Amino acid sequence: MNSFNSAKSALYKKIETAGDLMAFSFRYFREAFKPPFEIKEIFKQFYILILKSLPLVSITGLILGLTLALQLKPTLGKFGAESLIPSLLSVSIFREIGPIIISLICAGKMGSAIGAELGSMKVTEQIAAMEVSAVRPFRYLVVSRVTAAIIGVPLLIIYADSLSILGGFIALKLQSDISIPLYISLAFDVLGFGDIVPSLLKTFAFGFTIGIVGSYKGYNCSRGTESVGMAANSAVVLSSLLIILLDMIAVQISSLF
Amino acid sequence: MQKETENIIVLKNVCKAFASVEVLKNINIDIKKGETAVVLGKSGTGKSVILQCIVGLLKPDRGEVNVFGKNIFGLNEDEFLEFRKKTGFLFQSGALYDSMSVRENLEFPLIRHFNLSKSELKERVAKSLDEVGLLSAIDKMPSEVSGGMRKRIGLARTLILAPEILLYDEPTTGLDPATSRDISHLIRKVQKERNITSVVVTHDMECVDITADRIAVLKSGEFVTVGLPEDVKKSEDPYIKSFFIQTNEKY
Repeated sequence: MNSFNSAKSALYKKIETAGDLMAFSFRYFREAFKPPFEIKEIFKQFYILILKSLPLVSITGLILGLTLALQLKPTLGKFGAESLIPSLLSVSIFREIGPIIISLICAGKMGSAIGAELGSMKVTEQIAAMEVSAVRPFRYLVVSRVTAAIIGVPLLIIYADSLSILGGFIALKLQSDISIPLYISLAFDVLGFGDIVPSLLKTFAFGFTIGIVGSYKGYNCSRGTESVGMAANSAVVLSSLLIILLDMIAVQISSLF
Repeated sequence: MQKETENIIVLKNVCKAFASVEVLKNINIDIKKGETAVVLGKSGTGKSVILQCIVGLLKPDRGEVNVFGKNIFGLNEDEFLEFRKKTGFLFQSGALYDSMSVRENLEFPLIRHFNLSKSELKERVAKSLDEVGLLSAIDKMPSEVSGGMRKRIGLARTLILAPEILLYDEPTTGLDPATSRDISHLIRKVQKERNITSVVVTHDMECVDITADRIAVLKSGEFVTVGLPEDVKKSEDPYIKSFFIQTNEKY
């Protein structure tokens, strides 16, 4: 009976968190379009969250394409279908692998950074200090970070996808004498509207998820330094989970068209 | 125009509980313009909760918080922000923004509330820091200054908006006696020079002696007495007496 009650209260808590997160998201849309806009802070967060992620995203993107091409080569080689590698690579990277892998990496890097920073600001009363000085901390702290993530994550994904295609070329070039024009034409000729646009649209949702979950966890952090670590950790876990769920929904929707 | 004797802060039957713990039970107090009221009480009795209710960081479960003649929880968003501009709050830790320099900390509220030129901004920041004797720390980061300096900078950041009310949450906690005394004298100086209505939450008796116009003693979420320092000090109540007893008398 006790375990049933504790499971019930845990479920209620999850539902409550989902409701709070939803309200927090609506608040973002309500505040994001009201002046005064914190443009300077959005640029600052774009630099911190997005530009500083470039090295990690670059290495991941390049290696992703390289390893995928190396893995595909022996399998497709058995059927004499090596010429399909560039197109297979580009479709899989642009449609699915690029957005999901890079988003999960961003969730780890940005989600934890946002959760920990806002969490420590909450614990050390810096957010309360902004509130009492009549500054809207939600607009300054949350709107700026979420907006930077919405704009930045899709750009990072496009950049990483391009590097993956380059990585695929490097892998193939090491084992064959394929030329760049041929590789590009094989890789991009197969790509259509349905491969690019839906996957690009879902990356905006991934960026929003990373920003809003990290901000929500940090902004609602309870007192004590332990809760800062928990905020960072749960920001990563929850945003990763939501990204995978959103991706599943996006795939279902895009398959209708 | 507010009269000198007008009550600026009025708490009526304020109650606040966290989960099942009732922290404030029926708190009543009137604080007049230019007066410094000190809330005295042991740790965990709800002193800081009173301050947070006055500034609207916490909403009481029951009762009213009237500031400048209005119930602050009945204000609309714009009125509430206007009220907050007139109310300063010095946090126990100073609550400086870690990612900004001291200068940026002071500029932060100014930029958002006033349309000042760069030179005016510079001048006001310098003047405010000079007032707390820390002009030399203007380009330092909060991590580079001591605890006492953080509180002084926090006070400068609060004063820069020229508040009419100042709330101090344990302003001398964690400081050495000399720095505590300096901070207490600074609180008094600010109150005298600007005629600011202040509420100081503390259990530092030297701070009480220097700053208090009136003392309210909190016990188990209720004021057991509110009165002039000389009257409160004469109280025969053992709980109240325990605050004023000298260390050598105690042991």
